[in-house]
Formats: sequence, structure tokens, C-alpha cells
Amino acid sequence: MKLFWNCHLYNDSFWGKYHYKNSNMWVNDIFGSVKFSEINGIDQVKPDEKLIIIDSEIYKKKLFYERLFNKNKKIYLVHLGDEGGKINRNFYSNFLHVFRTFYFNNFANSSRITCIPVGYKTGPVKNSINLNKRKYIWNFLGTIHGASRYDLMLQNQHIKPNYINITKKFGGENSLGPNEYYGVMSNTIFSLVSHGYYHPETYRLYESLESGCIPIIENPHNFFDIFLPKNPIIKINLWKESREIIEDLNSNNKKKLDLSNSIQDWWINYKSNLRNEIKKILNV
Amino acid sequence: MFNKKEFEDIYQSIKNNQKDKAQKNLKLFREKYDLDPDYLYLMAEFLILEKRFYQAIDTIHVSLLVENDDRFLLKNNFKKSTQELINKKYNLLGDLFEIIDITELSKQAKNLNSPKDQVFFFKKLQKLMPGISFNK
Repeated sequence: MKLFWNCHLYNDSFWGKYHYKNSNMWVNDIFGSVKFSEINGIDQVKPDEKLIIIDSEIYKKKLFYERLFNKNKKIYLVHLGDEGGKINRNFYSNFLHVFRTFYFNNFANSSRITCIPVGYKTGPVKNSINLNKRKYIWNFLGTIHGASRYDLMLQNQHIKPNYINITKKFGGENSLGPNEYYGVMSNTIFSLVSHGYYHPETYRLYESLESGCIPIIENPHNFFDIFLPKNPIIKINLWKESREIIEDLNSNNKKKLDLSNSIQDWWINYKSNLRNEIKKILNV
Repeated sequence: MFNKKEFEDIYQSIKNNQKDKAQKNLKLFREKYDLDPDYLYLMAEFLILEKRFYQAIDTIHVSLLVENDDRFLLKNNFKKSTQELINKKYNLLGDLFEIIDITELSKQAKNLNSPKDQVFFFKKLQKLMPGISFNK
């Protein structure tokens, strides 16, 4: 089986480069137990050979895919991005199976599509600092799009010490580098995870889980109960709820640690099940 | 209150808590009017039925942004909302800020006595929530 990263090719865009640079650790995490050899060009795959292609912004690569489908019929797609769920579903029928980020109900009911978490940004992830010895009670790192993120900051501003780094846009000039970013995450107890720009899911949730933080997530339409069943993550509808939750948990080290352990156990188990499911689908 | 009769009907559906009917009709007009200031107000009202309060605030915010962009209105043949509806938008913002527990903004939004006050508040909102924009 061959694996080919195509996000950054045939299209000069921010997101293509972003996924190539920042999603490889996550993709390796969940596909890593599958035996494949990574190739640099599509000419390195034989017509009867299975191929996993990792891509984003597919709608800009029509010609590339026309050529690929003429050559090979045994293709699995890992479709990154597509936060708005705008892909034409018919396109997916060209693949043996599609693994896509950003869950939508209309993709979930297809046996040939598996929705996977958006995952975490590549970097020196660490989870070695004991929860009760972490420096920051909560953090917010990112852009203030609108009301939710503004409220998140306002409702929790008096809970200190905290770490706040507001950026003007995603990946903007004052964004923290990977070392600094994961340094802060691994030294924070509660990570407040707001709704994404269009979709409820954001990278922050998975970065928080990898860093051993207790995520508190905004949960519109019970999205995270549907997408990540039986997860013990704290879910809120309005950020005023988070203030009380943080204050309560932070005053009880045992309760806080027990919750953190149950979240970490669930996440490890979730990833293990996902890896097994992927292997089963790929028939390896 | 609305520039179009169809919008009045959607408004009545929302006020009568007829979610399915309102959703169906909002969907019907989405392609043509998704950035019409009146349509955006109706979307915000619908989001409140769905208890999506943050998205409702953001949607009114976009409605006000469009409202204040004469060039965009002209280009798309959209009309400004009536003053009655503009007042309702600010009142609704006041209600929403109360729900999410931002008392100060709630009080301010509910006590805007003139269009000049409304513009002042709108500019404040833009500073506080700078990421809200719309695709021109």
C-alpha cells in the first residue's frame, strides 16, 4: 500500500500548506499502524496497487483527479479541511472509502465515509506536567471571531493565573510557534474550546486532549455527544457556565484529577478504536 | 416592518414557534437573500428558537454590517431595514446579551435613543468582536 500527500500540490493555498505541515502528526497517529510506503509522486504507484491519498481543497484539482482515476481504481481518500461540508458527495464515489474531517449528518449515514476528528497541530506535544502543578488555570489562544469567544474571555477574566494570546487571524503574525504553543498548553489545567468559524469542531479540542488539559467545550445541538459518543469532556452551552465549573473543580484537586484521568482514558481508548476501525476498512 | 411580504410570513412562523415552517421558508430564500439585512434578522430570530444565542448575536451583527454598507446594498439590490426593524435588532441584541449574562452591553443596547446612538453602539460592537464580517 502506498501513501501520498497531495494537500500542498497542484494548488498554492494557505490551507494546502497548512495541512501538509500541521496534520501529518495526527494522520500518522491514526494511520501509523497501517503498513504503507510514502511516495513523492503519483507515478510511483502501480495501477493495481492500493493508494491512500491525503488531500484538501479537492475542488481545485479536477484535472489531477481525472488523470488519477483513469490510472488507478483502488484509492482511499483522507479528506482534510472542508469545514463547510461543501464537497460534492458524488466525487467520493470514486474512492474505495473516504476518511473525512468535519462531521456532518449527511456524511455519517454512508458506509463508505468515515468522519474522523480534525486532530491536532504537529508539534512538540507534551503531557508530562502533573495537572495540580500546572501554572495556568485556563488559557485562550486564538482569534476573537464573534460573540462566543468574546464572552468566553469576559466570563472567565477574573480567574487567574490565565494565559491569553489573541491573534488577529488564524495562524496570524502573533500566533505562538509550536514550541511555545504546546509549552502553554501543557502547563494549563482547563482549556476553553469555543465553536469554530463554521463548524463546532476545532483543532484546540484535540490539542488540549494531547496536552492533558481538561477541555471545556461549547456543544451546540449536542454535537460532541453525537460525534464523540460517551466522552466525559465538560460541555457547556453558554460560557457563564464555565466560570462556576472551573472554580468548583479547581478547589478540589482529587475531583479535578479524577476527571482528567477519565478524559485521558477515554481519549486513548477512542484513538485505539479509531486505529482499529481504519485497519479494518483498509483490510490490512 | 419588513421590505417583503414573504419575510412577514416567516416572522409570523417564528413568533408562532412553527420551527419547521420557518426553516423551510428561510431555506427557500437563502440563495437570493442570504445577505439581505431583513433576512439576516429573521435568521437571528430563528437561531434563538434553536437556542444558538452566540450565532444569533453574530447574525444580527452581520445584518448591521450590511445595513451600513451602502455600496453592497446597491450592488445587490437590497434595501436598508426600516427604522422599526433596526430598533428591533438592537433590542434583540439587548435580550441576547442578557441571556448570555453580559449585563452592561444588554443595558446599552436597550437604551439607544437615536440612530446616532445606534451607530455608536454598532461601532463599539465591531471593536469588541472584530472577526465578524461577510463575503462581499
